Amino acid sequence: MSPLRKVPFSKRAGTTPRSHRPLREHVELAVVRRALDLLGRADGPRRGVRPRRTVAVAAAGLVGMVSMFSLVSQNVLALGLQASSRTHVIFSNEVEGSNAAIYMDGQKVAGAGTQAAAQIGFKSAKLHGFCLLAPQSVAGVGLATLKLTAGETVDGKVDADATPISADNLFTSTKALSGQGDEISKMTLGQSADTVAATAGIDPSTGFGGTAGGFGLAASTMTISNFSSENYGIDLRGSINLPNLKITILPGDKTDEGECS
Amino acid sequence: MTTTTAGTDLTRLRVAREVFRAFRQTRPFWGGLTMMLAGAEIAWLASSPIGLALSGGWSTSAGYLIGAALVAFGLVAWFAPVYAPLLGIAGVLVALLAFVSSNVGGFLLGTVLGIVGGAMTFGWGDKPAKRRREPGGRGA
Repeated sequence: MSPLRKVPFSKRAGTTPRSHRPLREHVELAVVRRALDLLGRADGPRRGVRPRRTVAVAAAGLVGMVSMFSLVSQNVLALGLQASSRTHVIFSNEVEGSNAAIYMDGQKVAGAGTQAAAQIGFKSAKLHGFCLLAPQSVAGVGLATLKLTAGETVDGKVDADATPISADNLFTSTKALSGQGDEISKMTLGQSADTVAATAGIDPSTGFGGTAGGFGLAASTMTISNFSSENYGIDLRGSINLPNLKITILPGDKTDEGECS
Repeated sequence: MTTTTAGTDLTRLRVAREVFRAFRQTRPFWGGLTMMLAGAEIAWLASSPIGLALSGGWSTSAGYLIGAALVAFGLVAWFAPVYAPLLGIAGVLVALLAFVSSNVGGFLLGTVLGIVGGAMTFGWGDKPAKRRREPGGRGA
C-alpha cells in the first residue's frame, strides 16, 4: 500500500465522521461553540450603558412627550384611541351625537371570554367635558388608575363658554350606559342590526354593524346629559381633539365620577 | 451516583449563569428588554380583533404595528448589537408615535418604557476601563 495513500477518516482511531454523528450531538457542539464564543467576547473591552448619552436621549424623549402633550391640550394635535382589553369608565357633562347607531354584539374581553355589549357608533360627536378613568395593575406598583380629563370640568353642569371636544367616527363597546336623553330625534327602534350603520350614515367600510336580524337602533340626533358609560373599548376611526388635556395617575381602583372634578 | 449527578447539575448551572452573564454583557440587554416590554404593553392594550385591525387601516392597527416594531427593535438590539445606536433612536421615536396613535401610548406606560429602553439601547457601548489604585497610595 502506498504510504501516500490517505487513510480514510472513518478508519482513524478514536474519531467519528461528522456525517455519522447524531443530530443531538451536532446541536450540543454548536451550543458549546456559541457559549465559548460568548464567554470569550465577554472578556473583551468593558461594555455597558453609558450614563451621559442615555440620560441625554431619555431627556430629549421625555421633552418630546411633554411637547406632544401640550400640543394635544391646545387642540393642535389629535389622539387615536383603539379598543382596549381593560374596562374603563367615561363621564361627560353632555354628549351631542349626530348620526348615531346602537346594536348588540359579542365583545372579546381579556380573561373573560366573549361578553355581550352594546356597540355604539357616532358619525360625529361633541362632548362637553371628558373624563376617562382606566384602572389597571402595573407590575411592581399594584393597582393604579389612569385619569384623563379634557375640556371643561366634569361636574354635571354644561359650561356654555367652554370649547366642546369634537370626535369623528367614534365607536364604543359598552357594558353599561346611563344619562338623560335630552334630545333624540328621527329614531328607528328595532331596526335590523346590519342596517343601522347605513341608516345613520356611518361608512360600512369601518366594519360597524351587527348580524342580520339582531336588535338595532339608529337616530339622527342623540344628546345625552350626565353621560356615564362603562366601556370595554373605544374605537376611534377618526380623531379626537382634547383641549385642556390632563393626565394623572391615581392609586388604587377609582371609577367614581367624583374623581373627575 | 446521586452526588455525581447533583455535582454535574451544579456545574451546568454555574456554566449557564456564566453564559447568561456573558450574553448580558455583550449586548444592550436591559435596553432591548425594556423596549420589548413597552411594545408588548402597547399591543396588549390595543386588543381589537386581528381581522378588524388588518382591514381598518392605521387607526385600528396602530397599536399592533407600534407594539410589534418595538419588540422587533429590542430583539434586533439583542442579536445585532452593532445597530444599537440606530435602534435606540428609532425606539424612542416610535414610542413617541404611540403617544398620539395608540391609547395615549399604552396609557403612558408604553411610551415611557419605550423612551427609557431606547435611551438605554442608544447609550450602550464600550466603557473606559476602571482605574486601578496603585498599592501604597500617592505617597509611595
